Amino acid sequence: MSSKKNSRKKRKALNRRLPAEKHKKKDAIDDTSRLTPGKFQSRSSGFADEVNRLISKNKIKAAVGRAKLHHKRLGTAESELVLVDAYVARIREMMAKGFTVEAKTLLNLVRGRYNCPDHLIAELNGVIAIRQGSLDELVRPLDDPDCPQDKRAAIEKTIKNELIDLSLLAHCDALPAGHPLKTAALATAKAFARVTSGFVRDEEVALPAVSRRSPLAPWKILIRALASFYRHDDEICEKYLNAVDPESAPGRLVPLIRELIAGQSKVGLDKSSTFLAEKVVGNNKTTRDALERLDAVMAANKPRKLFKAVRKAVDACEQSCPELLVRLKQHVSIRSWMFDVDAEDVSRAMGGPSLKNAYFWLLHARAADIMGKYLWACALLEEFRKHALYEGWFSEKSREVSVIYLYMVDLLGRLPAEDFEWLQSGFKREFTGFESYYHGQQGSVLEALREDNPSAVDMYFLYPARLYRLASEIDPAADTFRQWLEWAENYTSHWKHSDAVATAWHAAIPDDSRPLLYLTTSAENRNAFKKALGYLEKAERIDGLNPDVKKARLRLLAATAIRHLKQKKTHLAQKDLAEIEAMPQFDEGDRPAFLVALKSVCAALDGQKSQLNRLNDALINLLESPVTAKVVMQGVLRACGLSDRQINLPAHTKAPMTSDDLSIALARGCQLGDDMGIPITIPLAYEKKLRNFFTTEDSLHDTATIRIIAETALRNKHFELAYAAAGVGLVKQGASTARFLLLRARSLPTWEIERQDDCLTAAIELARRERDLDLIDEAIELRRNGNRMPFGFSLFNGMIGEDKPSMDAEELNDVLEFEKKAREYPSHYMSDNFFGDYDDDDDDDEQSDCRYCDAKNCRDRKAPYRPDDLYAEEFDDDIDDFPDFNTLLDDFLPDLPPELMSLIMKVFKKHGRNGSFPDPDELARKDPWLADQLQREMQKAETDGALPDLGQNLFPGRRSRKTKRKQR
Amino acid sequence: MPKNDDFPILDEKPQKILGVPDDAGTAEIRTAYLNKIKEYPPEKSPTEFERVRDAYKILSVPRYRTRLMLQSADPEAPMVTLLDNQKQNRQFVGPEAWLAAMLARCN
Repeated sequence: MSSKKNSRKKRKALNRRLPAEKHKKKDAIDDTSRLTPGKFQSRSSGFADEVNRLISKNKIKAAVGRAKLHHKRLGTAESELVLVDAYVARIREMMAKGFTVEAKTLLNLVRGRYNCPDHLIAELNGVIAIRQGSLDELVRPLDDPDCPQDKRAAIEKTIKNELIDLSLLAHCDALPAGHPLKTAALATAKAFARVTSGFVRDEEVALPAVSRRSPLAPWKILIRALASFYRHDDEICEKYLNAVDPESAPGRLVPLIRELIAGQSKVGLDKSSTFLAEKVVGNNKTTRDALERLDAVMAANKPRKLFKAVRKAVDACEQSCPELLVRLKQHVSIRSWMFDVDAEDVSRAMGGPSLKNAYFWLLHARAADIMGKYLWACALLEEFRKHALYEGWFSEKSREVSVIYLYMVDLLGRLPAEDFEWLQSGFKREFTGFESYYHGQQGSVLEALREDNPSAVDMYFLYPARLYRLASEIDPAADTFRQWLEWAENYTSHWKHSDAVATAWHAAIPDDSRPLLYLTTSAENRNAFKKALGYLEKAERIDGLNPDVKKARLRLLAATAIRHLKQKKTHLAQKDLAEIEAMPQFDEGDRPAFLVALKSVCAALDGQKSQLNRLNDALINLLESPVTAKVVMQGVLRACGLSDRQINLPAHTKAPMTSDDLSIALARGCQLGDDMGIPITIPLAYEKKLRNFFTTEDSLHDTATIRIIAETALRNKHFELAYAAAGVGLVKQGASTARFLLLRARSLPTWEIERQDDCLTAAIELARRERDLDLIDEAIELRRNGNRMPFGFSLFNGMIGEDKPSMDAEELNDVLEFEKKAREYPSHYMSDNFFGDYDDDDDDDEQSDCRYCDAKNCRDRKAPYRPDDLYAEEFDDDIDDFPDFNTLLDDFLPDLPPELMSLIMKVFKKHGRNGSFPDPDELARKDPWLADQLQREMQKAETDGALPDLGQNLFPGRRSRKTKRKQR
Repeated sequence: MPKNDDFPILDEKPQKILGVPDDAGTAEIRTAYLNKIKEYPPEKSPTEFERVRDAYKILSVPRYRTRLMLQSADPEAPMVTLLDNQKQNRQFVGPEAWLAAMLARCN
């Protein structure tokens, strides 16, 4: 009751107020009439703006209310126009809501009361007619040839912007049969139905009846866009979508099609659009959720929940993304294999086994590769090859197959050399094929194996030589031959194997001089100079301007001269030297000095002392330093099989030398030796001096010199000098920083594994930035295999996702700063970590300091630990392979210096035959540098008293074949 | 040991750099390459230009492409990526659903 009373009171109060309000309004109108035209216009336009603002905000009812009030007050033509605009907006709103009848009634009302522009009335009537499904009234004027152009344009605009059901136009009675618009509408409706029902060719929906000016032109473009959309030609589709008039009826679909292409979320779409989107591209939310759950279960490693998650994922996928089911099952199978889950259980959870097609085998091979099961991966790749051939991925003799073979070689190369044969034979014994995988498989899968012989599995994939041969037969690329040759050179027991590869290379690519150069060097190493010359002449005919070929001629002549000097046949050597002198390439760099050194040996052998002294002086003049002259002369003497005492070496300089002068002098000598193929060694006295220089101060000279010193030091096993030189190079910074990091890694003791890895990773990162592919290869090789792997080459080096070493900028900077500061060579095992924050249990154990035993006071604990010592340790495991050496090791291992031990191991590995030490002469011929190193170490050990009688037995010095025959 | 030939090293999938799908054909790769080169001319973006050129090199040499193909299968990839990598299968639903969506949008 009280509320009624209150409302009554309010009403009364309102009524009491109304007369006053009315008076106010009247006054206002009177006031308005008194306004000047300018003021009136501004007032009127202010109201119009307000109404328009309300319309634009979609507050149509309020807009009509304001316009009515405004018109009541003003009663002008302008205010009437504003009111009509508001009513038109209201009519449109009603039509949009589907109240077509109400809209028509309101339109008639407005038309009767106010002055409406004719075009507006016509347009609204047209829209209402289209919505009511009767186009006759609207389109009738189009058949009248006297219809004014603007009226025709208005009708066409209404058709373009409002007509959705094309059949209305196609079958309207107002237009005669055969009217172009009717024909076009019919063709367009058919094309639209066709394009949304199945794949169509462009010419099927060309629509020549629809011109560019036709009101149906947007439909024509939409149809082409849809054809491209269904063909997944999204780029072309986008071009068509851009061409559709956004105001036209087909233009309303453009944003939706764009969303479908982008695969965006369907949130915010109207009901019909959502329905369409789900029908066309599907709703994979359920599948996505199920897959995310499966991923979470796998990441959490919860085997109990795995099967349930697999079941749910498979069910969801089957329902909403059936085309994904095969792939999903394959991935689940492989991931379960990686987790070591029983295949039968997984198969049951998936409701059946996964399809064993080519993709499955490739996925399996990659999984085996990731798991480090390389032999298994090779077998899986072979299975992939068979299925891929059957499924038409590529043809049998295609390049792809060649790459698969090289991938297999790469996988085999990751196995440790010392275990390779053992692993290979074990796999051969145990591998029985993949028969169990094929239970319950489709006929098409089994068809791929039709030609297989189940009783005899061809395990060619376990043999690198066979793989290389197959790869090169299919694709005789120089790179394949190069890899094969380097493999043969390093991992086959006889030079004939390598020569056979080089010969095959030459036969396949006759224009390539590289195999000929290899054959030249190989023949030269066997002292088959005539043969070498023959190969070289061939190479010169093919590529005479190649610097390597030119250099080979010079080196071959130098080697011939050295051989003659070794044989004391100075008259022949003189001829060789004259020939060398006549060569144009002889004048380059320090090569004349090398000739002088050879002439000195000639003079010494002929006993021409005055000539020798003259030549010595000339040598010092040419090389501008007695130090350089001395190291070069020493190298030449050793190459000629002579000792330092047999010739007066250039005298030491009395003047004190700075570190820079000394390093430049030595680097120059080393460079000349490298150029002419003569190993140059840094004398111990110089080595010590340089090491001290490099450890305590930064050299002023260029990084090239430091690099030569570091590399020569590494070759000479002067790790401490190499370490110090690399440190100086790092301080200098610049483009060679990556190279010096690599040298630092190589010079570190083997037990500094983490530090080595950090240096190598940092080197790779820097080299990647500088695009130095050679350095990256070298570093990856060292990082992955060191020098202990059989076929260390990786075809897949640097590939994305392939155990890619990476380091961010901060880490890189840390490594660089640490290495720059670390000038002292690590002389004992460090338990603290590189960055000082790593606490490994193994490192804490003091007993682990010794690499030989657990004794706390073992003397080896204090001994410097060289990288090659690990090499020696690894060989201990393979001792059974070398029965003779076994006894030797048992007897002498504790007494042999580690450097010597390492060299002996290296000789055994590289040149040992059936457990016996190679013939010293053969060793000196095949590997003069190694022979030289061994002799030096043995002499050193003998001087130090660290060598018992072993020396003479093991390496009795170089003897001629004649002497050996005499001894026999 | 043997070295790789001049195989470029990239920090991203070459297809991603060129913006082409994994199974793109030679013509599509070439078109994408030419577009990218226009987008990143060497005088304005030398680094990006080199990346694009290297990506094209990998994809245009059959041998390199095979290497990529062999490594494309990733058994460790999350299962949900199968959905992302899958090309959306677009279903034909007839004209009615399309017209209904158009009508709804006209209103």
